[in-house]
Amino acid sequence: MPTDWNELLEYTPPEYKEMYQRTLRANQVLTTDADPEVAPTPKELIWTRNKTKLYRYISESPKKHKIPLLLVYALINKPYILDLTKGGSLVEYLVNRGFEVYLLEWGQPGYEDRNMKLDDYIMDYIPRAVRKVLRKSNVDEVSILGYCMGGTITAAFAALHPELPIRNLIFMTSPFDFEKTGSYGAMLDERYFNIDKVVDTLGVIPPEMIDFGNKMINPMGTNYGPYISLYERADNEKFIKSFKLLQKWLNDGIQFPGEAYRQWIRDFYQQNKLIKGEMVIRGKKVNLENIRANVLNLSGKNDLIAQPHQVEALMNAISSEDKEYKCLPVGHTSITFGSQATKITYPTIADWLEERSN
Amino acid sequence: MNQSFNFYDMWKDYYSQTSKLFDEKISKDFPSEGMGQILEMNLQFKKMIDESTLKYLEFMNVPSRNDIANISSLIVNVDAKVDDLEEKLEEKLDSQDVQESFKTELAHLKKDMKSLDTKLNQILTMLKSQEKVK
Repeated sequence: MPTDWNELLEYTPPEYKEMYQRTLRANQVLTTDADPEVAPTPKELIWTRNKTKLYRYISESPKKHKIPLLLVYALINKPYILDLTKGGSLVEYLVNRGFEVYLLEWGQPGYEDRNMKLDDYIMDYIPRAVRKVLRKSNVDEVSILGYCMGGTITAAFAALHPELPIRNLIFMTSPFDFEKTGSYGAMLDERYFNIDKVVDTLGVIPPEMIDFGNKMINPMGTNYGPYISLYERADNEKFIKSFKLLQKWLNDGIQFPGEAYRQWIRDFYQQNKLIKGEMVIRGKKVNLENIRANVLNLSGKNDLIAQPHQVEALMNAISSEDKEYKCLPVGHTSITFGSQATKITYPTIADWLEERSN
Repeated sequence: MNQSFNFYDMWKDYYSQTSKLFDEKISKDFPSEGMGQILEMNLQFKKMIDESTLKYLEFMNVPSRNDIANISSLIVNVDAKVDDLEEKLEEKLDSQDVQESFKTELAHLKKDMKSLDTKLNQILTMLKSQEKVK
């Protein structure tokens, strides 16, 4: 009689043995494996204000393009999704292609930041960061790339600051039209979602609440799907690496300042003010027609968070002569990380930017 | 015994179909009202806990989250003011740099004018001396 568990496995059919080994590895990944290292590209800190930090990526390869690129991230989760791992990093790719890359990171807002509004980000933080980039790079113009909500606030910023020398604007899965948002619209329906009560009670919105909202769009798929894939592919170390990186990022949320959240939900999702030209930021109307920079607007065909029609809506609202809209065969996260991102997104951005950065 | 039977595959099939149906149902008829009620209930509970905690902390002379956040806000305000000052200083230094280069250019211009003036004087003196010789 076998006395050892592994010895017992020798007597089981191969498919059950495989199943057992996959289960074992999946359990290790979920319980004992160390968190993966993220944000590998070296960077230097250029400027800070409150929790916000402006970084400049350091490169050993020579700078080939005159105009620097500033990455503006969203107020949800952390920006290291743009620099997740070696060989799977948009930042690393752009730096290797000879761009001077900066990143504006909002940090982790605390309870003391509950009164911060989008106005503060759009009128104080982004303009200051742009001026810092111009000064540091000693140039007269800058390119900006906004990801997700970062793109939406970048558009508002660009419309309100025609005096700043923005040559190129890249929007990556940034929603602009909030008329038909599917489950989000239903979830944030004014009749049932009392935004004032949420903000007044919580002060700052916990990341778990934002995450829950995102997962409710496709609850079974997002809550259980990744774990089933993990179990099925636990014998594939490459898959495990990607799984761990993405899970780390997905579960590494930050608090959303209450007043900014109130604006984001009410003005954008509930009243769709931006695309209608009714948005007011610090007493000034946001007119997207003021955007004259070259624009590359990217959406993801499988994106449920910023659906393609929400992204494309910007194209008719701006005055740019050089503007291009592309719908890539990716999702909201896979536009920045994964094999499709490496093959499609990174070269699309770099090629477009290369032609307009000297 | 049938070798191709696999309990996991059977479960996976069942799971895939039901989860797809569930997700489709959610996206078609999102339970907005029900979720709103759950949220409302949670907020009510949170408000009650917050208020009683605040009263307790006040009674015990222990600073609350609000008190700590108020101090942090003061620091954030100072930080913002320092940053604004830094920007003003940078702008001033920039304009000073422009002024400096303007001054240098003006000095060069003055020097050029002076040497031109000297040369003109020399020419005039030479012309005058030639006239005298005639």
